[in-house]
Amino acid sequence: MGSQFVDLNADGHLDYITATFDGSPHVSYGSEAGFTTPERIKDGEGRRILVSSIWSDEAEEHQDLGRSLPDGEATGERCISALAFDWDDDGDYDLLLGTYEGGHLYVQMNEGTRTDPKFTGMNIPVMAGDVAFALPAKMTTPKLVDWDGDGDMDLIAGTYSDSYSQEGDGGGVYLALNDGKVGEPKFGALKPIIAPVERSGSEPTRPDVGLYPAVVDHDGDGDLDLIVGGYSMWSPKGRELNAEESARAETLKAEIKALEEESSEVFAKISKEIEELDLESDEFDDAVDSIYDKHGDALSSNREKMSAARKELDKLIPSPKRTSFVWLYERI
Amino acid sequence: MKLFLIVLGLTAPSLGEVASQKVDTAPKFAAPKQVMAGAELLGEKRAYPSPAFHDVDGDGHLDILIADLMGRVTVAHGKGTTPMTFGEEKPLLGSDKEPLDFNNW
Repeated sequence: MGSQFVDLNADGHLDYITATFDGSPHVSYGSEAGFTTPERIKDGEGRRILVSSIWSDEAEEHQDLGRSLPDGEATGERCISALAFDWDDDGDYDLLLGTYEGGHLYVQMNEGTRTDPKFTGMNIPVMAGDVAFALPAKMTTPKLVDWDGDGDMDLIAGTYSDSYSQEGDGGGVYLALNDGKVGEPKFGALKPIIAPVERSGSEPTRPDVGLYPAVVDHDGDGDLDLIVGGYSMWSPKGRELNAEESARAETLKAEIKALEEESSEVFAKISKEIEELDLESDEFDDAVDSIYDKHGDALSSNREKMSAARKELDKLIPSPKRTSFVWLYERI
Repeated sequence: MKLFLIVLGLTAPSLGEVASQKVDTAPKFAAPKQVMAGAELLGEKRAYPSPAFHDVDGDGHLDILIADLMGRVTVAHGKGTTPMTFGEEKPLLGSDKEPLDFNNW
């Protein structure tokens, strides 16, 4: 969830713009008393703004809609980032909408005014060079910044990469410079400014996946530094074990394996019992709950034992780690 | 101040608003360092911590906000030092004095 502070409704207070995994942009309006309860930004017809896939609170399901895309075809992409930007320099804010899955960026124009916005409901792909803006490993959030100091807004954006694997290249931060003019932005090809590197190491040294960037002159030296949130992934070095400890580690590994197999068996039983239910029955949901309740104690007990065994094993042979932090990349 | 915020991308100006000043576009960075909030690591164990800057308390110093995947937001107030340092990370309260919470699913 990226964050931008702009006076979207021209009332003199900065508003908080963002988008979440529900697939739509949100705003929390600024006021004398602080930020108001967040709400979704709507288009000129009062509909949710979206790229394609959204979570419907009413239907309690994901819905994939093509109504905002140029060819009307749903793509499954979720809008998880949003920025206000006066794309055409007509005095009101248009919206930039970023997607998770494709790492694409769209602009949705405002045909209203600053105080009475009317977003069109139709998205126009943003280009980066000669191709559509698309990041290689799912986009976290874009940010607008005058990176090259030429008076217009450039784009930087981060990527996720595979969020759980302990191997392979992580995410990066990319820059697309704006070579256009006022009212006609033209973004160049995306180039890495923090290049993805293979996740490795025995301690956290950088954000490896899910790189969310922000830009600020942190050290007051006149150039722009990066502040980047994300998950670090590392494999702590283990110590040398004596014979007794080695034997204990092997025992714990065997215990954990057996507990994992027991868990799988319980889940297989649950699946089988659910398959035997009548899907059309009004009592289906209650029956599913009842099945989980029946096996709940076994699963809970198993989970506790597994947690204790893993904790003890971790002291002997540390497991790979994955924890989030925020990092400073100081420009030199 | 407005130009300062525009240069940092903290506001979204029209394209004609910003003064021209060429800078290096192929940056080099020092090895990354963890950012602190008081005595704690900023954003530690948050679900995809996402930083942004805003002067929340209007004291003239940028504060750092950390949003996360769940739609929650914290703020660590800037102390006005150079380089920047921040105080303890706390939930960002809305006008109703409750923690601001954006709808996820």
